[in-house]
Amino acid sequence: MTGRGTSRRTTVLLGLVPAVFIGVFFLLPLAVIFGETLAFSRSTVTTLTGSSVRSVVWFTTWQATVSTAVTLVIGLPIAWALARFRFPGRQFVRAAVTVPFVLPTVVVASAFTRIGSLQIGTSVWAILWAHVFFNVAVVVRSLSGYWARLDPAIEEQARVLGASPIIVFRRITLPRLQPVLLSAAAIVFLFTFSSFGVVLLLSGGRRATIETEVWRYATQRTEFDVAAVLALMQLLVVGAMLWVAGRAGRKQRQVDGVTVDHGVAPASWRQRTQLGACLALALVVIGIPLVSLVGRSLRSGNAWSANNYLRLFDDPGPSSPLAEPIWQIGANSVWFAVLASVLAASTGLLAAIVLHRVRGRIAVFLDGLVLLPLGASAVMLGLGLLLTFDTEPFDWRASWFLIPVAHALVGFPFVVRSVLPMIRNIEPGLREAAATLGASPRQVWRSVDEPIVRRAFGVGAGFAFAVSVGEFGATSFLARPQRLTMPTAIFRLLGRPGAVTYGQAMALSVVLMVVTATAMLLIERGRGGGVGDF
Amino acid sequence: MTSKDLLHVAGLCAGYGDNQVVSDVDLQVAPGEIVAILGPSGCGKSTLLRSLVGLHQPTSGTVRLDGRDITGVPVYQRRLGLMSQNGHLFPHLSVADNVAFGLQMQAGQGGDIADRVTSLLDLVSLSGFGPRTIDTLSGGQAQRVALARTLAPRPNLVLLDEPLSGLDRALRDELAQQMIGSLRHEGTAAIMVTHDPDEAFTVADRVAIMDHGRLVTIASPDVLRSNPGTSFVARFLGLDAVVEVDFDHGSAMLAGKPLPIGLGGDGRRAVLVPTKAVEVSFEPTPGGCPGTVLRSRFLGDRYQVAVRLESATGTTQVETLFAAVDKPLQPGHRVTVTVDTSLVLGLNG
Repeated sequence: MTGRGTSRRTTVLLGLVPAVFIGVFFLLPLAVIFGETLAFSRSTVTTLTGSSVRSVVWFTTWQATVSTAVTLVIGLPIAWALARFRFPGRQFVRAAVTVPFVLPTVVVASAFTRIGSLQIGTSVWAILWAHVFFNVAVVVRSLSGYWARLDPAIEEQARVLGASPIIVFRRITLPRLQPVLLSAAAIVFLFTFSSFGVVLLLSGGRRATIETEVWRYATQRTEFDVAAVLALMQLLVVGAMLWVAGRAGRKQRQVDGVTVDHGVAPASWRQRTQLGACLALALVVIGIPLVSLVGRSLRSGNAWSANNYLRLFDDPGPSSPLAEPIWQIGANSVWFAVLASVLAASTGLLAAIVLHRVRGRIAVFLDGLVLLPLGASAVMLGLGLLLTFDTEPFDWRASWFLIPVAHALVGFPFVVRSVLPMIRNIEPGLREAAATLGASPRQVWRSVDEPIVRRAFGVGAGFAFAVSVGEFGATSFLARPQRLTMPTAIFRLLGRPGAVTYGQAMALSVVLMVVTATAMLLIERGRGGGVGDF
Repeated sequence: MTSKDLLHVAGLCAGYGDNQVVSDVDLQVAPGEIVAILGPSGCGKSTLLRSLVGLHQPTSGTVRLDGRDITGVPVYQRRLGLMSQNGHLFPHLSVADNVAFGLQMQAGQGGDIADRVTSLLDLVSLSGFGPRTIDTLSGGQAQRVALARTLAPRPNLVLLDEPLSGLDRALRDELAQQMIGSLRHEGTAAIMVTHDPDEAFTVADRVAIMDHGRLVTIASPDVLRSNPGTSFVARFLGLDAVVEVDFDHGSAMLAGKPLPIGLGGDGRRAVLVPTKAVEVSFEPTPGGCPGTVLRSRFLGDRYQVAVRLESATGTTQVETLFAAVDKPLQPGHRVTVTVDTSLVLGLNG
């Protein structure tokens, strides 16, 4: 064994890389935003207290509340069916429900521009439905796993004592689910409150959330101080929500530790009907938008064709909002994603190893620090990088490499959260066994740690890749028209009226969806198990 | 069906899919009576209980309560009590709220809920436990709260599903007594399912034996013990010695003596040789049969010895009999065994 002193020095050295990365590219920009808010003028105050900002705050809160409520109402029966019934294809449905959550926001927004022949785009319904579509996964995933572990005998007891099904649900089931329900609701509220891509693409410029306003003030009106104050306001709400979610999460671990699955095969026709209705609900909410997106990507004029896909290889015409052919944009995206995933996976892996080694108060502090980029939205990150690196000594604004850096920052918490459990799972007994069998420290690392660490790196890189190809919020601040990514290209295509650009946007969205889904599938394989709580 | 029956079950069948686990069960329970259903695990007794309470829909047969057919009535309208092995207390409610739950479900219950809860907690010796949370209770306390919760809405009939088997021996006996005391105090009839004969015999007015989904016999503990009827029942109850004897033209020999005519026809049959029919002595006795002591077991006031008969007894197989003696005998000790054959009982199956 190495001495305590060297071990501590190793920990500090390992931690240096992620610390510098987070410090320069995340904390510094955050400080710059904060500094910007201090420099506001009289006109800033007028803007901030004006009716337009007030209505933005109102709409942000209102749509987040309604989206959360509807998501819960729809997610609850689906989670119930998945928790209480055992049926062929249950695992598939569970995985399928999660698909929307990992889809890039831009793809989701594209899907909701039209549903079949229904022109719901730019109506508030499109925004709400898109939010529900996105977040049903959060509710179903966290709720159904927990619910399946709750012993139904407790509900049976209540029924024997004279409680009707409705009363059982209200007095027994709901209170027992409350911690998970609360934490899921907080997360959904958080996501919808800071919704950016969906609102930007589906509002037709007529509605705005705080996030889209930050973007508008920063990139369209260059009133950075207003943008900074709005971003900070946003951060406060998000922080409060994370706190609620974290508290509820801790409580839920105390309530139940049993890991028995109490699902049963539906026995009566009544149960089969209930199950069928719940699955149909999932199909309508999640299936229809996806099918309709794929369908529209294959429609050209009034006929079915692959034209939209073929046009991805055309040189941009005079009416195109793009400066390069779309296949080139795809290549940009992949290149950025590769860089971002290497960056995020290596820093994330180092951070996870450090987190695994430290104990006590410092561990809690570092844990929070690592998750911070998750709390600060991508928009905030984009704004911070934009503000920080546009002046000497860092005039890198025109440089493309800020994009992979931003993507790596967005992916970083995901990498740490997925890698850390894998590293924690390396049993100390295994190392000791190897050592007593005569393995030197180097051989112990080789035989015990390395295979797991290598797999962890792969999983982390996969996550970061998936996050990067779909990233829209931060990129929309940083991408130059000469070098776009797939999501920013879709945004531009949808912003230009015309059947050709619309078709291209749909086709590109499908491509992006396939790329993301493939990456997620590979991750799930690499992990050898279900995706955690996300 | 007599009019005084509280519960009347006729021809009840239940199962899961094609797998029938309860077959053609008939059962009557009088008001205030305690019936134990005893059987090995997997015999269908829990499914029978779930069918009675309404948590499982039987495939055929009827369940009548107070003369009313309740076979199709939803569980929450049946007003029966159910107490199970794990108690299944509501983890998010306090002890008092758990006990009050059933009362709150009944319309027209006013301020006397609190009084009823207090008196029930007194009844199960948990006075003052009302505000406690569930996770602070020990296993025995949790089961007593479960009992109080079950009795609170004054059900006419309580179904007990292995209510004591999660507890250790000493606690079990104490709690069994308390449970019976509480049921008698409330005048509540009960059906208790268990796989433990001792538990069934201590608690019940009548004991039903269940095997492969059927009730094979139902009788009072005394009757069942003195005349178990079948070798399955006798063996399951752990009664004395069940011995296989070969009958030839209606007669057979056991320990050198002829068995009374009328026990059976021809072929091999099981008979029960009660401990009190077997005597062991150290000198050769006329009419006795030589045997060897296998082991002795202390039974509190006397010793039970297992004796193996030497097989020079004609048609009888080598058998082990049990006798009660005052002092322990060493294994291998040679003795003479005398059987009072008039006490031997014939068994079916």
